[in-house]
Amino acid sequence: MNKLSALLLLCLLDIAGAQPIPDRPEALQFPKLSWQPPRFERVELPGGAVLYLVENHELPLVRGKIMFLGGAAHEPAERAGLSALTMHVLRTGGTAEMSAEELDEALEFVAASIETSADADRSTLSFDCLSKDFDDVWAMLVDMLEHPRFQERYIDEKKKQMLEALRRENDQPEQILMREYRRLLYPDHPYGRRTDGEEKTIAALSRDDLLAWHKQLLSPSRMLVGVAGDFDARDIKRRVRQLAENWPYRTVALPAVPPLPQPKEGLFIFEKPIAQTSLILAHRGPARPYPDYHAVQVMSFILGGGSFSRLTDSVRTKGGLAYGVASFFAYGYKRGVFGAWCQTKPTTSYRAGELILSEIERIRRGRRPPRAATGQRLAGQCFIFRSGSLTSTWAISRSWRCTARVQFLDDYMDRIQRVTAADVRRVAEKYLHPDRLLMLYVGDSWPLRPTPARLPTGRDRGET
Amino acid sequence: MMQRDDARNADTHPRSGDTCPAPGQRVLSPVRAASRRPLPAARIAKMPTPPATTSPRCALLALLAFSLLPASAAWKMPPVHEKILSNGMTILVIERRASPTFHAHIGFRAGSAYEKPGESGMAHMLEHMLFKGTRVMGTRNYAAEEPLMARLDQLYEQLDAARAAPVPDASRIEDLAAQITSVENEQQQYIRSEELWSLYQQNGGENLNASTSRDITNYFLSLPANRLELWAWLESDRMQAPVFREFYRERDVIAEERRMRVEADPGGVLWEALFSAAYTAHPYRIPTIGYMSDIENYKRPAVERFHTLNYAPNRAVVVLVGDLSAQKAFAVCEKYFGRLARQPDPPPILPREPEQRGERRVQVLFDAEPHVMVAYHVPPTGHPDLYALEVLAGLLSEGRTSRLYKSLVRTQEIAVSAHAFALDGRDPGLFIFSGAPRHPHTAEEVEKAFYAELAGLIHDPIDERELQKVKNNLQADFIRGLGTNMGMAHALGYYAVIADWRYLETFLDRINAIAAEDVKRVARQYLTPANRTVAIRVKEEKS
Repeated sequence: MNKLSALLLLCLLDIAGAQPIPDRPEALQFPKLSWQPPRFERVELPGGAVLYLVENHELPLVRGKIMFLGGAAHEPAERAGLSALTMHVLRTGGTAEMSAEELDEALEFVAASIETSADADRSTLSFDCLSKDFDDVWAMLVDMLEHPRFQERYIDEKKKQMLEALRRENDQPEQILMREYRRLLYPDHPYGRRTDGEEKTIAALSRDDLLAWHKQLLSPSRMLVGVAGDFDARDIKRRVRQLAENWPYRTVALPAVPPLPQPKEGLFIFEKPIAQTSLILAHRGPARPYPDYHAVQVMSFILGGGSFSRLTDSVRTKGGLAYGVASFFAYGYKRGVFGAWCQTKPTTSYRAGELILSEIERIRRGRRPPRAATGQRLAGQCFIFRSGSLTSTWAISRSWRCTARVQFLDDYMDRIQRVTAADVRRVAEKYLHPDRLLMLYVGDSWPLRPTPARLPTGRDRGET
Repeated sequence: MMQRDDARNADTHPRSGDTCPAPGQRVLSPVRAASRRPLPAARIAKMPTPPATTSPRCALLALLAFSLLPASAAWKMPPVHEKILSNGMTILVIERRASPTFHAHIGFRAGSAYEKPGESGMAHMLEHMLFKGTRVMGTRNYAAEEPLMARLDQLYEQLDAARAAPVPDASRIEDLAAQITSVENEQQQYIRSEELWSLYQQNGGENLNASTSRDITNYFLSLPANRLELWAWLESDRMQAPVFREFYRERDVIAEERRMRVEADPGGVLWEALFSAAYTAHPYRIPTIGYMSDIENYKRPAVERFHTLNYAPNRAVVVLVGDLSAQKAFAVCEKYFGRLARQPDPPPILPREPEQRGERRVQVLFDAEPHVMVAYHVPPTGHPDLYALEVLAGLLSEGRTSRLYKSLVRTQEIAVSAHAFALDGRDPGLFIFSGAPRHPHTAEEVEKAFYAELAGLIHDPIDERELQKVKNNLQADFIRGLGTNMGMAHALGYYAVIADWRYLETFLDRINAIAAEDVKRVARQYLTPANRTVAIRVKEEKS
């Protein structure tokens, strides 16, 4: 150690040691921390594709996602499961250049992964590899996107797996809850369907269906690419541009998603004799973009978004009724959902639902107005912190997906900070609708019979 | 619990279904529970989906075959700075300037294996209680709270006894419950609920949580780089003088956690049954979350005793990874944690698991489709044979080209999932097979197929390329696992507590040295019929 660093060390030790430990942590002083969030590069390509890049050379890895707007919501009811099957076998069924077996072997030998999926609104390919293998992995994924082989054998295999998944879909209460509450929010609508289809529709899907749907589903005009890691940005831009420009198929519009139906309201019970009831209160919520988004973020944190939210305090800490309890505003493509859920033993399932309901009412009308500051700090701090990670590309791509507003990141913090207590109260009244809730219980129904008067009494009261 | 798939609980909640969670919003409130081994998590996360074989044919493939791993092989773990404070507390620091943040991890050698009979789950209960504040944090007036908590201890003692009576006296129970409510309400006026979480989060804390496993209890979070002293203040405060307020209410919360993780979860039920049967003497047989009857009867003084005994600085390892200087970090730790007094070690865990002499089978009825798990006793972390067992798990279960996937899922089509993994620990752990049959095939068919694969692996030659593939994956997973401050801190903390953090420095070299013959040998030696426990979940049809 040279003299200078020894001196520095002494100073540091002194700084740490000289001040007495204060009685409370708030008395601590912190050195200033100046930090610019990492810059994301956004490139718009002719034809509509958009690329986001974050270069980061710390680890010899490249990770990325190629996302296409459009998914299961666009498929006809009698073809339910088509997008999921197409995207799955896109990966597992081989390509023009390589058989399914060769592809798996090549990827796994170098510990690389390419995986695909489809949900209601998006069809996605994601990849993760060591940077030294990126050339090869990119070539494989382009081949996969453009020229999937859809080997029959792997179509058949996936169909069998989807059928088994159907058999197993009532094993987990949470899985039932998720499936059923969507069905109730979007009755007889693609958003209410299982994206993996039903027994009959799965059985009917053929290789020709996949070939045709692939050409329609994937189009560079609806493509968003995010790549992060150890690469040269110019190289990635060139690759993505080529992918978009050399796309071998003509863009065909996807069938429109039908207009959203009237959601169900009232109490619903999915009978499952089990030690713990899962329950959710939900209604449809605002879709992004909308001007109150930031105020709703803050309000949502106060109600049920953090570990010391009102719901946690009431249902968990003071009530001892649940381990997990939270509420959320979630956003899909041109749609949104508000929900609040918890899991509790059957004997307290009524009480827990009632407590959640009263917290929803309290944040709208309660005597003690919500303090904006708490939610603001949370919404703000968490966000800043997350933007520091390699995965932030996905945050951006998600926001793009939801808002088509890319300046989202730039003004997020400002807008959060401008939210006032009055805003919180106003958006709580505007976007929370205790009178329009659906309330779904998965568990033992006996504690709810006869149906308690306090729970929502919508016109669709019934059982699922 | 330390289930592999704990993350599932966070992943499958309703909100994740509806896409596009808002930035910064958390899914579960405190997921304060179980943990798994830090490193293999990466590998487990990318567990099988699908399969296929064949030899290289096209040019691309040939190219890949020869580009082994130069880039990643060059990647080395950054240097670890180590200091042991005079009270015995270990401080490990990795300086890493990728972002102006750091991750702080404290691990105590105090998992569920250190519990006494009747106190199952107490390590986990203690973990929850450490979020309830101290004499300074979480209170408006500790002096006023103290007598109320003592009164609650008495009342709950009476209530629990009354409830346990052969013929419970309903009116007495009601009376006690009323008194309790009144005292709890009185205490409420002094409580600042969740002040620690709140303060951390308002200072930019992220990933704030804690976890309990069989060997270790962890407390961790990420903070902006300039908040090191805040962390040291809060953590040394709660190590030194935690106050277990709202204790009895938290018993109910943990009971709900147990219902969520075990009683209403088909995977949790099976896992618990497997461990209860595989271990007969060693405390790994006890579920980390605890038995319901123990949870319902925890008493505050008992948990305080557990804390005093197990949370000594000489049983703690602090790991700091991020934008800090090691010397400064040591100084801050000395200043804050140096205040804590060294304590005598608690009695060691004495029971050793006797050699298993014959197969054990258990069956669990549950309202869910069937599943099978097969577990074999294997040596603890640090034992040389574990490296070969890791490679064995890779051969069997890493990816679509793994043997179990290719055979059970792809070729025979009898299963929808089939995995194998080594679960290590401070004491001897388990090597586990896990599979879900595809209707109309049965759990027993999947079980038989596991044994057939095992026999093939033992008796047939192992292709060098296949072996190399597994090593490549272990290496890449290792890099991915250590890719974040948090991943690195957890891995260091875990191995520092249960064995030696230097395990990580040599891990890859040891893996690379494994030969096909080593894999066959450990398979022959440990994966024997007499050493196995089979747990099968059977669908229970309720009317």
